[in-house]
Amino acid sequence: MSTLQRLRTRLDRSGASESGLVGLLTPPGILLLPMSLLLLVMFVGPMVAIVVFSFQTGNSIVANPLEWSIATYEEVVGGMISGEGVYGDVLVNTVAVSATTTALTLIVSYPAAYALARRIERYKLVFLMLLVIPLFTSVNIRVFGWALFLVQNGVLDSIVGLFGVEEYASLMYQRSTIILGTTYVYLPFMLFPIYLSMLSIEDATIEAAQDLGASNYTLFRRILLPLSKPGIVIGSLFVFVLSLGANVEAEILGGGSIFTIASNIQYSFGYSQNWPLGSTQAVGLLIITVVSGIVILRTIDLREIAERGD
Amino acid sequence: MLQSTNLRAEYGALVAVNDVDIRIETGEFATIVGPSGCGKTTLLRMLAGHQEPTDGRIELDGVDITDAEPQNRPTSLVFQSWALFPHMTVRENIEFPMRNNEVEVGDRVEELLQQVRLDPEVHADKQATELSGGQKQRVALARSLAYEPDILLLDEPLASLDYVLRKRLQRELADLNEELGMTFIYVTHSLESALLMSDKLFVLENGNIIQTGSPEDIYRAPNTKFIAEFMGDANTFELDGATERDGSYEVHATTLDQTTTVPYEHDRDTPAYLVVRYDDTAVGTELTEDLGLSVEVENVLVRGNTVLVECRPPGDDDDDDEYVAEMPVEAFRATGIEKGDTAYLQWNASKSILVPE
Repeated sequence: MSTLQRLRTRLDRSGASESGLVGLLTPPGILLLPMSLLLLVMFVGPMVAIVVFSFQTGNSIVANPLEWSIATYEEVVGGMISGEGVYGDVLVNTVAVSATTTALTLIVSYPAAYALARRIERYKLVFLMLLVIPLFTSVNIRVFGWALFLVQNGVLDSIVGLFGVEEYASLMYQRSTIILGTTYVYLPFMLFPIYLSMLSIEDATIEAAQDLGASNYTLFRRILLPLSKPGIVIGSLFVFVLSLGANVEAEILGGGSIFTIASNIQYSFGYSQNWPLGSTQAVGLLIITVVSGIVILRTIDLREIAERGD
Repeated sequence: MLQSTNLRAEYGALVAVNDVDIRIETGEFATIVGPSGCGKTTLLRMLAGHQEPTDGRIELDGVDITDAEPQNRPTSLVFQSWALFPHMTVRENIEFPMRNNEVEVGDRVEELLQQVRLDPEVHADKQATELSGGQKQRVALARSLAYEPDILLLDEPLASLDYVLRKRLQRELADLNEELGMTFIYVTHSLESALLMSDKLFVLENGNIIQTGSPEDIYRAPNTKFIAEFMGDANTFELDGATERDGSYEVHATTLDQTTTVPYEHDRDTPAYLVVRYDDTAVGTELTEDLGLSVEVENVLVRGNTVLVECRPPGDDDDDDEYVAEMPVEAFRATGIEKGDTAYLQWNASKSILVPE
């Protein structure tokens, strides 16, 4: 066989294998295989189980015949509408915590990201390290640290006691305390996307705007803000979604008095051993997460960002 | 008129721009030319207000603008990377300076695009990122012209374009300068740009202006060996002796077989080198011109309708003593000289240029 013929047969063969499932098993499809398997086992499987459990009545699945019940949905959704039970408050708490956290982290991060990306040269690495190092520590430990600080007869009490303040309302077990915790814990998830999008703005772009007579306000409004918008959107998505699922912060800083969906799910699966109820709330959380993700992502054109990189 | 006095920029111990005095008349096309790292971009950035001078003054029509913010200067800089706003359309890019400076928009965008030879109907509403390099360049130019600054500063905006497009845009820039009567200050390391477009040249070396003048003047009478070689491919001969004689110098070099007399301007230092451009020299089997030397032909390179004949004195291995003659292909063929032959590198003595150290 001549070299040309060999090449031709090889090309014919590879052309055929491109289509169908076989294509997945040839490079580059095969590179995605381990991750696909992992996602299938770790994500898709449990999700299906959760959805199935949410339609059951007890902590086991009767397989033959499979029975379906919408009792827990009636309880949760009905409770929200009628205002009976905790579910309405839980939803309000959850959304309030997430939305406030997102707003607070944005307000704190935006100027800091601008300064770190464009203005500060000295100690920049130190600042970035200070932001990263807490991420290496467990959320539990950091939040317990906060609790020790705020709890009655804790560190804060001792400090204000030195100044003669004896009695004041406890700072623990309030919605604002949870927000304080989530704001602190999720701050880097807002800061870094904005920082990166600020970094990707060319110096010449900003200088050109100044050169063309832009005031500082115009520079911010028409150049910096639109060009850093992808970072704002991605950061907001991270923080909002992570806060929706924030369990530790609600558990420890909210004590038993403020519930969010995440802490309520844990309560249902753990203390009250009501798996269908926990599953139903988990499905609800998933729906809220997906819908808010879509809404947030729709505010930017991802394709436009990809094209901008040239 | 734009004038700088003792303008200086230092980065730590490095002096990027060393007490530069320049004077550019209104409407002039001035070019600051020099090799990479000579301080030309720093100089331009100081004129634009993007960099604070360490010392010195910048005046525009008698007004001190040294400390004015870029926003408040009647200068507009066209960046090397063009710096179009990627999230805006062509129209929005051009309207940006007009809105900032409260200029009536009206049909100006269309006018400006036509001025830079872009069809408004095709391009005005395209996203800035959709344009080709040459189109981006034109839009950047239109945007800078949009609010009618007094001075347009250009930082090698043509450097990354291909040869044909660069040539065309150079001509268009020169036309635009004439048409608008606006002062253009162009920074480049490319000699062809400098010669083609400028009314006035400033040659910058290591932060110092080493020569100022019209392109013809500098080409004809370069102040230093560096400028002579920078202004075009040339052979350089070190002189052993130079004797003044009525506005000319009689010069002698051991590498050359003869002594010659060359005109020379009086207000410069004693000549130290004799320079002759490649295309003013030829090789031949006999010495027929009035100046020349015996060489061995090492290589012959055809460059379109001319050939580059690389040669050196026989038995001389010094790299500095390699010379090149550029001559028409037919003229070279007629000599019958081939690689390895011995010949005479020669030229008319009047083509010689004398330069000080």
